Amino acid sequence: MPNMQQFVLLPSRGLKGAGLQANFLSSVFGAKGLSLGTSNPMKLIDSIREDGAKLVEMTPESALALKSSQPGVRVVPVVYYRQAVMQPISIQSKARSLSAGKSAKVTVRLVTGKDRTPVPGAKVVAFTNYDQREGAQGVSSAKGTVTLTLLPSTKTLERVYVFPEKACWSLVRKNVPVTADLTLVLNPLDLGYKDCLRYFYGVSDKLNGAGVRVGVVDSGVDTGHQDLRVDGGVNTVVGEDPKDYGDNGGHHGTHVAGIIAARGTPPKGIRGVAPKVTLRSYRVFGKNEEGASNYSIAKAIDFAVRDKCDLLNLSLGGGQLDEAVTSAIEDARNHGTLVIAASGNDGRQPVSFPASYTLCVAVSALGRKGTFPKDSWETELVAAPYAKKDKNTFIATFSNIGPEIDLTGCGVGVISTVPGGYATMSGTSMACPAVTGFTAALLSSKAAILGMRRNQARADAMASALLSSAKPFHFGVKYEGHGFPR
Amino acid sequence: MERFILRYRGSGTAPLKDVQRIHKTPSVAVLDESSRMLLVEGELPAVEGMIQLMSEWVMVREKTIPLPEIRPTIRKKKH
Repeated sequence: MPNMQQFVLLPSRGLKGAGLQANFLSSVFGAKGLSLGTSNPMKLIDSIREDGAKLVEMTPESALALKSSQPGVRVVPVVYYRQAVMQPISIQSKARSLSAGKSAKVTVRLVTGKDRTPVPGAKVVAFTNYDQREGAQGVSSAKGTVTLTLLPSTKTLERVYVFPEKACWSLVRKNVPVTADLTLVLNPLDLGYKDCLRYFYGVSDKLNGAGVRVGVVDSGVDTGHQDLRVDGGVNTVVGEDPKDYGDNGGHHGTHVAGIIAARGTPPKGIRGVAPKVTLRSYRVFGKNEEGASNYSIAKAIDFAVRDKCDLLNLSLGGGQLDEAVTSAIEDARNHGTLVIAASGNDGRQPVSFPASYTLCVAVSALGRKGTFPKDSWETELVAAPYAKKDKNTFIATFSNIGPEIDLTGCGVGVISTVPGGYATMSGTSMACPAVTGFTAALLSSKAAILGMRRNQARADAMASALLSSAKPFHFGVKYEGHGFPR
Repeated sequence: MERFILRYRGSGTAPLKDVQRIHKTPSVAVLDESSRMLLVEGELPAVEGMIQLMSEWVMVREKTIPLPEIRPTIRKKKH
């Protein structure tokens, strides 16, 4: 019995179609079962009007085929809303009192390399009870040390994680005996190392991405990094300088940008998937802020379209559908700009907005065993499903999944640029620019598409070319959509 | 007082007369604007009442989307 699910078919805007979209929707209205080139036809359940929105039933594979053949038609899974029930605040752990002097202090020393060079600026997270997320954390000093305060009864640290700011891989240690001094040796980052991205794509040709303009909507991009060339951009955070589109101190945007467009050469630098793109930065996260306003995001998209970006990378998301952002994405699509968004990192939960919005290309994250050190945190991101013909390739534990997924990309242990150097990061935030970079590289050889008038047909053509390039690893449609672009 | 995004859904830039109306509406303060959007602060009834007089505009509450972070961290205790 095929896995039939319900979807709503909508035109690209509103509820009533126009032009080719209206013709398609009318054809669904008149057909008893519409073939989509798969073995399971689509079944019409209800309709608002002949040329308008439809409630249909079909398999996820058929939905995917429909999105490819009719890129201007929105294919929206049926969602059921529940009443918002107030959850009582629960105590996460018993209240404990720490009397003055009654605590155990552990000094953790972080070093790397043969010379045992101190590692400053690394976040150390030590769990005494991992399930309850109890423990202590801190950041290493210039001397590479951090002192953690624990209960005097603590004998063992269940897990210790180290997340360096740059220059080293992350580390995880389990069941560490508590001593007054603890030294942890971190693996240094080798820029010639074959991480997940370089395993699948190799070191890119220097001309990849020529003629394509890419906008990174994120926390800003370091304009001074030796491996990056930022053509320009805008800071759309209200109350801040619009010209300040550089990295906001959080490193996320610079890392994302490097995956797409870094121009270095290993082992002294790194190279992104499309080093020859014209890169623009649209900062939407404020200085030292952990959130971006939906207003800033919509405004950034508008500016990027004004600046004639061909592709927009949105390695961000969360919350419910937002009409300010969907409107901006619609406008982008109508002006020939394709938006590629990260599916989110909630661990096999539904795809986050805006990736869930049908006019975005939604990207999940995969990884590959053997592309990160055995004692790195990345080892904890391995989970089923595995690729049918390659059990070393997996969908990352954190990746959101669902019928909205269009593609999967490299998102585990990716080496890229950060202010002042290089670092590894994992997330659908990394998988998204891997796909954006691939798209840019693909389009740079498709002058006919790049030369099209800037309207929806152009964006649709870019989407079709990208989706057609993908080959499945056979994880299943909800994990990978059309597959991995290659 | 809340913050709202007012976005023009028609073609091209927002009509000047609509933008002027928003600026002149008492108890609604314009915090930022671009070619098709304004960020305003005001009470919901005042903003809703204003929007209803203007066609092809939508009103959305401003909200914050967090920066993605997947690394394990210590959970803060609630007392």
